[in-house]
Amino acid sequence: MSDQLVLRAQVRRFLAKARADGAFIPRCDAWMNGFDAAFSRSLAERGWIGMTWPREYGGAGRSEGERLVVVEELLAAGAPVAAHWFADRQIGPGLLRHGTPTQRARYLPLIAAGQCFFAVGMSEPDSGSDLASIRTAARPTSGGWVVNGTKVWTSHAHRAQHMLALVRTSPLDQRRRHEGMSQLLIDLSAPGVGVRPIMTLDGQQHFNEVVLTDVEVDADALLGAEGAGWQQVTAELANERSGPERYLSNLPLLAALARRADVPEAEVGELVAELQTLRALSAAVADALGRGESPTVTAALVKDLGSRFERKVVDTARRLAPVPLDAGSPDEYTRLLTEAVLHSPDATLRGGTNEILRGIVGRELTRT
Amino acid sequence: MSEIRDAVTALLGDHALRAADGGQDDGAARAAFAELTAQGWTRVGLPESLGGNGGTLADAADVAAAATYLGVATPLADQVLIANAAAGLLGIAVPEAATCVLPVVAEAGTATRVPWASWASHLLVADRAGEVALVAASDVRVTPGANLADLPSDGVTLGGSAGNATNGAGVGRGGGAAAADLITLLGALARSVQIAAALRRCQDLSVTYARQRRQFGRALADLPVIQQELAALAGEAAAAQAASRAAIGEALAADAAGHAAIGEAAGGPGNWWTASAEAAARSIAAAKVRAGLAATAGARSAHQIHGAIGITREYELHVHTRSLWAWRDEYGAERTWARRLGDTVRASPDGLWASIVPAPGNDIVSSH
Repeated sequence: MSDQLVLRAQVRRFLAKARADGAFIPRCDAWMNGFDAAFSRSLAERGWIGMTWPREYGGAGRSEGERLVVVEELLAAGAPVAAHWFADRQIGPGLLRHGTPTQRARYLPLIAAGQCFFAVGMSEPDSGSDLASIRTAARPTSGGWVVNGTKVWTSHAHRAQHMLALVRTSPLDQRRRHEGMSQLLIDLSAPGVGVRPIMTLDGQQHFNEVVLTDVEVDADALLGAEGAGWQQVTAELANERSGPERYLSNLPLLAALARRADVPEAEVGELVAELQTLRALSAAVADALGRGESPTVTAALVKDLGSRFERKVVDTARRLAPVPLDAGSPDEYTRLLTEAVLHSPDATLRGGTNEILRGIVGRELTRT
Repeated sequence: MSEIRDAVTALLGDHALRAADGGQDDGAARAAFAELTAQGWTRVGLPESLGGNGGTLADAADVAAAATYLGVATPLADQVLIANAAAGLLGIAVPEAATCVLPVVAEAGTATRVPWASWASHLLVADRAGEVALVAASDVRVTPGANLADLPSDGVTLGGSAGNATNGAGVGRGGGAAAADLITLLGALARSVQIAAALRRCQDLSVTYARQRRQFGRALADLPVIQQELAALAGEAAAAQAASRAAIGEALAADAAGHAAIGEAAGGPGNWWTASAEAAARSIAAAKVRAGLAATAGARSAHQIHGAIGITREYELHVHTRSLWAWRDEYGAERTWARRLGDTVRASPDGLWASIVPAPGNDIVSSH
């Protein structure tokens, strides 16, 4: 316990200084939009990327609880962590679970050093919530695979070096839709990879379309077992859906709102109560994951409750302290509220739309 | 935990059936409470040195939750989670003759809307303007009343303050006001635990009903709109549960810290309400706010899933939803506790996040 408190204080001091030095400006949704390779490297120097991974792979061998402390502090500060976010959250753990020693040695030390960033290639033009309908296909060759297809909503593919893609390695069988998929590690600088920007409604770019045309990859680009892609991906999702980014994305706005004298204490307190509850719920999922359980339902509930809480923060801010929205405003509250409004549809979409997640929960509850 | 739940559930099984018929039969409820008393469950959460059967606040919460889930209308939760816990923390011994001890927060000798007072053999009275004392029910005047759920909610007029105390030894320190705060906090905790349990019951009833009831040629459970509503209900139930569990955890930690401090300082009981308990107070406040929100939204979902049968007296749902509507108001509605949380945030010099998640370097550093 006291180790974690000391660590929290260290991270908090580091962030306060970085902010004072102008190394970053707090933003809402910064884990999604705040891509800053230099800032990520400064975290890596302190051992705060890949911190739970074994030391032999460049990790710090620390606990999941300690990682949560660091991640919470980074999110709460609105620090730009998007560059390494996906590699730290899911690529590294995926490599440790399913990767070969060679794959681990190739990627993990570079990720932990803040020098290798990953994109995640899941959705496709015709496959959003229905992920099993993907069509990007990898055809086996003598030395590996040839990949063809298109991935969309691929965050930061234009700046990342690699992409972990979910592809079909066997044709779709409608009776066994979840079979025949595999995960491939793809070098985004390989011939045949085209990355085109997709601008979001706020005029910013983190999304891309990644077109793969006869992209050749080696046999050892396969992560885990051929055909086990669906199981590997869904196992990741419980982690992904219940993490603190599901309720801390708008924390900079909430903190700024709480500082406003024109906002009643009770309104701040109600949001704080919801936030504290989400932390407890998220911790319960983390504990269950730590015990080797697969808390699919609770993880989906965290994502649903968390993203609706984030929406409530924005709505409460507008209701209590409306200001003319202006992304370039020197007033921090105004700027943060503007960002949060423009990003507000995203929280209930990413990681699986809330309606799909509720469907998962509802079916699971009524399964006989 | 489930051992306690199983034992209480087995004991109350028959009585629960009567509750499920929709009646709050006073005779049946008194018989159930007599059995709970005979088997020692009403003395859980009170140290053996003070006449109790031992067990922690968490054990008391499990006892209360099990009985609440079944809808058996007894003051068990109020006795174990509020009266026993308060007596334990204040160092008040409970004599053998005190078969039903219930808490009262009085203002200059009178109190209104005191849950279950008419059932008490003894009342643990904390008078904001006076002392705290255990008094025999025969020494006070009780005016019967009822809350929204037809549960006793009575007026209490004290005979003559401390003069009537059967056991006030060592109690005077801190006075009635501090004890009243303590009882109010424990009351909020008890209602949070009960709301979580009642929501779990609402969820289970809704799942069962959705599986059985057929419309449009299929079970309600197979309709996506019903699945969405069930998931929403499950989310509220999970939030109430997580919030009350977190509060129990913080209260246990504060209790341990408080007792250790008491031992060291040899200051005797009454010092529980110290800085080390501030985290527990925040957590209880958050639990009551979140549970209150969950009671509103969860009851709404449960009724929406059930349709017209849910609003009849003959079907069990109203036993739980009327309780939810009553309990969200008792011992402070959402706004009361939200204001307290908001005040804490405002009082923190380091802002919202640091006030929720303290770390060394803030002035909230404590005995962790």
